[in-house]
Amino acid sequence: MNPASRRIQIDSGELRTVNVDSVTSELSRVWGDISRQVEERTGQIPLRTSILTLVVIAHGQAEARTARATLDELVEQMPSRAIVIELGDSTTRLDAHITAHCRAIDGGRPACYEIIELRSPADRVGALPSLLAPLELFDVPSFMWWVGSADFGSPRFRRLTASVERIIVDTSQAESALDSLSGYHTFLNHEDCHCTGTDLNWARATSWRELITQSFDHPLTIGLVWDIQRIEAAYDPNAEAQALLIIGWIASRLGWTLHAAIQTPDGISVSFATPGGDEASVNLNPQTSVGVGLRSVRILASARRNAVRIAIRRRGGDLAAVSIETAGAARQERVVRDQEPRLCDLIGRELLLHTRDPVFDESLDVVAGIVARLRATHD
Amino acid sequence: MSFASRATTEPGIADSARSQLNPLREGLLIERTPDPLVMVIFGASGDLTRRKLIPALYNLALERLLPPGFSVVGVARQDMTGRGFRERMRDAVNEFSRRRPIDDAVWSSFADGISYLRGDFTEGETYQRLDDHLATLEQERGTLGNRLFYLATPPDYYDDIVAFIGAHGLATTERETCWKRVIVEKPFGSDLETARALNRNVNNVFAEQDVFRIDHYLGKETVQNIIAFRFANGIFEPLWNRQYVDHVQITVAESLGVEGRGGYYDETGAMRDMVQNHLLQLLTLVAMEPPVELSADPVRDEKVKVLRAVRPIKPDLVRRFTVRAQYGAGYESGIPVPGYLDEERVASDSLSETFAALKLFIDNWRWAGVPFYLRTGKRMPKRVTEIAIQFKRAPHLLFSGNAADGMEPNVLTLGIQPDEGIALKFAVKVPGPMMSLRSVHMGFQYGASFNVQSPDAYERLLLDAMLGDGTLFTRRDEVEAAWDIVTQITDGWDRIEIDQLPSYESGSWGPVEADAFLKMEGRSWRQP
Repeated sequence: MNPASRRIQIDSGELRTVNVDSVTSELSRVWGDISRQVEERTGQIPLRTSILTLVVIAHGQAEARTARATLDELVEQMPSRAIVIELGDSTTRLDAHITAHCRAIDGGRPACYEIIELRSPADRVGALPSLLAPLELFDVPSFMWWVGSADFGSPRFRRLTASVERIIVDTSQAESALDSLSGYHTFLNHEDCHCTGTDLNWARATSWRELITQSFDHPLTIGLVWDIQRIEAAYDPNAEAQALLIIGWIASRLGWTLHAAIQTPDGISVSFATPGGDEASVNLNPQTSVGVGLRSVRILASARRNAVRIAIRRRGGDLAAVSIETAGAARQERVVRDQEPRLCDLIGRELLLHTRDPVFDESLDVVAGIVARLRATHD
Repeated sequence: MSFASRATTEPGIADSARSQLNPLREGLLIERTPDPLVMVIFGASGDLTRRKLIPALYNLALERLLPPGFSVVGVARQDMTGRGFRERMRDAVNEFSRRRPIDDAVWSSFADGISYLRGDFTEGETYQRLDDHLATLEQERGTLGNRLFYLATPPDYYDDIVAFIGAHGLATTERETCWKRVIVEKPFGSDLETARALNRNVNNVFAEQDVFRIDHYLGKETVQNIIAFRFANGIFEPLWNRQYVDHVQITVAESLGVEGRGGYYDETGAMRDMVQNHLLQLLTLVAMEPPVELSADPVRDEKVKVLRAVRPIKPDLVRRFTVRAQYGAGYESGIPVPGYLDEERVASDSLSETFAALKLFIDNWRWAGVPFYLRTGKRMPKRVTEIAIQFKRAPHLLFSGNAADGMEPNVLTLGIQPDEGIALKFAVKVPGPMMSLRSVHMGFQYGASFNVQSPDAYERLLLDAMLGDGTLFTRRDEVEAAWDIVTQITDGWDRIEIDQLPSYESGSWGPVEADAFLKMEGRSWRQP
């Protein structure tokens, strides 16, 4: 929370039996209370600005706690309606809890948002879309953040995501990033899927994509991006999805055609054909360490007499060193901050885009192709 | 930059070619990295460098927006070593950066490129040594001959510095792919004649596309949002004309006095210090026609058209169309403060205005007959900048008697600072059996809706200059058109023989003359 902000919170008290009318009338009551309180304390009528509806799906109490903690930070950034659905076991009662929050930043006019928490037994998921649709704010985009591991092929996933425009998942929550990315790709490309999607690993890889891109802005390297010959990425096992998405991103932006993908003792080896007919090779090397994510990306690009080596290495917990070596010029290195983003920042970043992200989709296409080749080789 | 398409003034590579050369950029929100460059700051020991420039550059480094090899050369008369300068700049970042505490690793990488050169701006020898130093730097740090000169000195030195830069070939581009640019701080001259002379001198050395005249107001996110608000929303533009707008008020109020700048301010006054640049810039953004595209020249073309359409206030009309005054003693936030004439380094018989209000008409199809009231002053009750569009009343009032008591005209307010946002005032029925009306306020606040820190104006503007994008900088013809408006007013003032200016109490909204100025037209100033 902004240190300069004051918060006023009103909640609905006891859990209520759920139907749309009861939730909306409870919301009205809560807002009436909070408006009075805010006006009494600040002398100003609270301001409600709606930017989006965020539906959060959490399985069990642990995920629900993660969701609440993240929302606590997130809704401070984007006032909106958040609907948190906690799916419990069959003994869970379908009920609702409503809170409204207002904050005054730097003594200014207070801004407000609301959170509707619904608890439902997992086996009554079928009933939830009929609740969700009328509770989502109209005329603003609706997003869904699926907190835990998702079974993209399941009817439950399809049914719950049907009412939103964009979904945010975290494929690294699954045991296998390869399977998860492939499943997500299948889901998003299914004819019944009417929403767009993104992956938090795509957001986690953003700073790496930016650093790689910036390395090819340099007057001595610009244009050489088309002549990339080799890429090596080293990563902690939990960052496999990020590494794959980065390779998918480079390959799709440069129009490479997937040639082969094999699992090697050191990781994954992939080869592509460039539009010019050359070969580009990629080695993905998982490390045994944990906790940092992507560790390094090294790129060699060479065309006739020009050649460039780019190395981006994680340095410590929150720094990255970028070096560019070109023939006949001084090696250039810079140290930049590259902090591991907080979960709320990752989600906040993905909420900025509410339409299809073709760059992500095309990157995921390449990754799905790599996974298919790996499976074919394995079989 | 701020807008969708970036104008390219760089030699060699156009933007379309760049994106083809770097297809990885598609979909990324981060700016393109500027080419490697050396930034030479003249006036490196001054306040602007310490408070604004170095903290802004450091923040750009934190945001990963500076290129590898980026270097800064500070030039000033003060005796200081490179190390001493870096330490001083580190302290400045610690004190003034919006991102604190300082990140040691990023600072260390950034500070590797900072050096200092002691020299007198008016001696050729300084520039000879600067030339040698730049040659070494370009070799060692691979900055490829790209140079950005920043004039952060008192304006008296501008002509000398630019002339010496030219005479020593520091701005000569040896290769088609490298560039030399200059950033000039306001004031750009003190009247039309001096502005023209300065422009001529600067353009003798730098091509106009390489000259970046900085008005930090244009770097503010909310100022840029005026364009977004007007041209991204279909509902307002049809109302944005003489048919529906009664008048426009632009207020730039400061709560502070001259704060130790008495010497400078007494030579300048509010008209030259604020109206010529900030207020007229806001006026152009509110009044301009939609540009053909959102890039440097189309935007500036439209702004210049507004300035040229402003009806001149001829010297003999200044009494009718302007008000000026000086603050007297009073209170600021409950603390007693002296009047302007008692400030340090202010002449006791000074006639420099600390408050100026004027009524302008824009003689074009859209705005014919709509008054634009501009007002700026020091020692006003609070620091606030806003643009208020007051709409005409409904053509026929259905509500009579008490019902209409609460009815006020609709006002659309664009808040620039400190409350950055947009508000609309409109009438609603008060609940109950009677038809009674009341004005309510519907507001949008940036801080409340997007709780993210906007970059400082200098960060945006420095990056734009490095990238060669002049959209948020003032062009030569724009500066001269603004001076033309202001010079006619100040000439008129100079012809009026008076012993003293009207006074207003510190902490008030200005002199009674300013209130009377609007009252005689049946209007009143807003109290934002």
